[in-house]
Amino acid sequence: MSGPAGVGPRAPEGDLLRWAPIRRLVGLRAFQFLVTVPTAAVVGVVLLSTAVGIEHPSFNFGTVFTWVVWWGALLLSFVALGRAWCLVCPLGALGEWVQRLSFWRRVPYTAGYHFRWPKPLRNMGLATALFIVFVWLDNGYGMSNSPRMTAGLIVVIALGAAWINLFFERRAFCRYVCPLTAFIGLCSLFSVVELRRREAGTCRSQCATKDCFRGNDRQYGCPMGEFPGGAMDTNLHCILCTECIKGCPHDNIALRLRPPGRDLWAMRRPQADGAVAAAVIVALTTVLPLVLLLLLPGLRRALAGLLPAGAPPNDFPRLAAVGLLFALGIGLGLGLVWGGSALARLSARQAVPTAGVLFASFAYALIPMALFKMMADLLDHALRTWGALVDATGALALDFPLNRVVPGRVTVMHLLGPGTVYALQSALVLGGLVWSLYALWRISERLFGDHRAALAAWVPMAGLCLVLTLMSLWTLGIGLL
Amino acid sequence: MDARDRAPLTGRRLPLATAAALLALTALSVAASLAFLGRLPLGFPQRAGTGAVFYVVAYHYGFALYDRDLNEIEKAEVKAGEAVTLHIVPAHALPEAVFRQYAERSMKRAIGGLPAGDPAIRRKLQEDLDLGNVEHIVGIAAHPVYLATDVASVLRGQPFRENGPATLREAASQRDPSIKSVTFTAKKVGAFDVLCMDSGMDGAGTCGWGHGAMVAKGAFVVRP
Repeated sequence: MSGPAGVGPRAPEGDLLRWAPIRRLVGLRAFQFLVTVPTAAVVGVVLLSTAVGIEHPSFNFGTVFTWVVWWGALLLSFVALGRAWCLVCPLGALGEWVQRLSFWRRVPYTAGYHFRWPKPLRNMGLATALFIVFVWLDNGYGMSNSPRMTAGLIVVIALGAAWINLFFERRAFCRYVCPLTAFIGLCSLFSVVELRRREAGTCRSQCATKDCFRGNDRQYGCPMGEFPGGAMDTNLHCILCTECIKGCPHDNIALRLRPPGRDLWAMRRPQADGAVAAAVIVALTTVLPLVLLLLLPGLRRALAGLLPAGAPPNDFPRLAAVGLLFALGIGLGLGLVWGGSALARLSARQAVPTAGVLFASFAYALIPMALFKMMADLLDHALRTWGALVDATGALALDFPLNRVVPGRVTVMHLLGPGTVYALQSALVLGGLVWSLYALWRISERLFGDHRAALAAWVPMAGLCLVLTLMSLWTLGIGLL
Repeated sequence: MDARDRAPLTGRRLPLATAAALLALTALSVAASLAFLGRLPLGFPQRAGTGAVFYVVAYHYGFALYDRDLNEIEKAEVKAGEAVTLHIVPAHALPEAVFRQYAERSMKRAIGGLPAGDPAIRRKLQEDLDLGNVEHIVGIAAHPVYLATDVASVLRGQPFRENGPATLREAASQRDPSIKSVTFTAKKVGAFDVLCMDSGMDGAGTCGWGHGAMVAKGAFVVRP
């Protein structure tokens, strides 16, 4: 078997399914339901607390848990387990339960209309746009400090999943609409775990039924519409639901350990929609904070003379200014990645691959930078707001599960000094830079057979990474000045 | 795979189940929309005016407590299980002279590391007013009391209110829009602090410099 550089057959030693306890666990028909129940219980408490609980963000368990604990765990889970959150997400599961009329059993009947998802929307465009809205809601409205908005977000996602899954086949919401799906999918490319077929030949020549995709009378087909026995070569859409493991009649699915980030350079067909989404995520995490820092106060002042003031959180000049700067930041980010790709082509002095092809491949390599920058942002937040976790848990215990009671004053607890936090943040950001540089090199090597051309193409993109990293280090450190 | 292979094996479709799901989702969506628009109260409201009634004037940087008849009291005392209605009156919604009288009470206490009577307290207070630090978020420890004042809407950009109620009694009798109320049941026995809540996770508050001192220690008493 041969393939492009870095895409060869994988060693079987890292296959977690060779380990009997894991194999037995994921082989359970109710596996996904069982791992979803605890998160459903927590999300239930979070929803109740954010919907009716105290509006103080530090004392509202749901708000603190969602934006510090869950968000942090989500970022870490990308590295360890890819889209593991999607496996246990009760919001997506709700839509599936409605569609399947069953919590875990394979039943011979179903609800809903099972329309195919519209072809023009079969990409990451909608999910990327909704992710931008998601981040804008936080920057503009302060969603992560608002219990009621947090509750609204949870309800909108849960109902959206249920409605869409009632009309469309499989988990259309999770694949194409969820505001986090593009973000989670792209960051999961960095994971050290992958679910893939074991032997391509078995799927090609011995399997006529394609049960991993279509399902059979005992198992459902892939809810994300992926074909693990076929072309699936990245973690982008795999939610680790394990249906394919249970359904494969040839026992040909593996759950393997691998070097982190392998998908970034090993994917055979990088798609433009994913590349644009990756560039947007990079822009939101590196370029946008700098743009907001430099331009928001001035632009808000300028718009205050043109727009009605409104009452917080509907501060119209601020909302409009944040919106305009989002457009600018994202445009700049996309332009920089595209410009870097165009420069790479010029630098390599080869007509093929084109700048578009380079963009579609190189953009994915920037994901580690974005992921580690987000971890650096969260690190500061977690270390500064550690006291809020104690306060919010205490407030919840005083009035479980409604969380309406004031426990007292906020506990101010800085676990580490600002200098130490910045040092840790810098280490994370630089770690992301190193990983992105390595991924860029592997991609460049794959795209240009010639070592010199590969190096020439790598240099402009490496320069771009360095610039983005400096932007991140500056915005993170501005508070120290 | 050919087109035939692309169709997932889903099983027999049940139109009745689909209709039931549509109905349930419609009901849930309507309820969620009404809740979002504030037409469907999510809390557990109690009838205002029943049980004990108190007025709490929040000023820079302290509280003055009054009973139902607007007699000033040192502590608000209730029985466990009793319904309590609190009317929070921001001193800033009253005329400047009244506001200054309340603020002068802060001169009699040590605040922010400054000794009682230090003229710097008055200067700091004025700085807060100039900066627009005019709101308070009033809470009572261990009770579901968390109310933010909305002075800005009655000040309308002015440093002090014009044409508002002249006294606390007038504000109360006119049900001035600056007064925020909450009704709850006092369940826990003990003496609890009435405090201005921190707005940030760093212990800062919306009223500014003297926020940390804005606590009426044990001023809400629940007897068995």
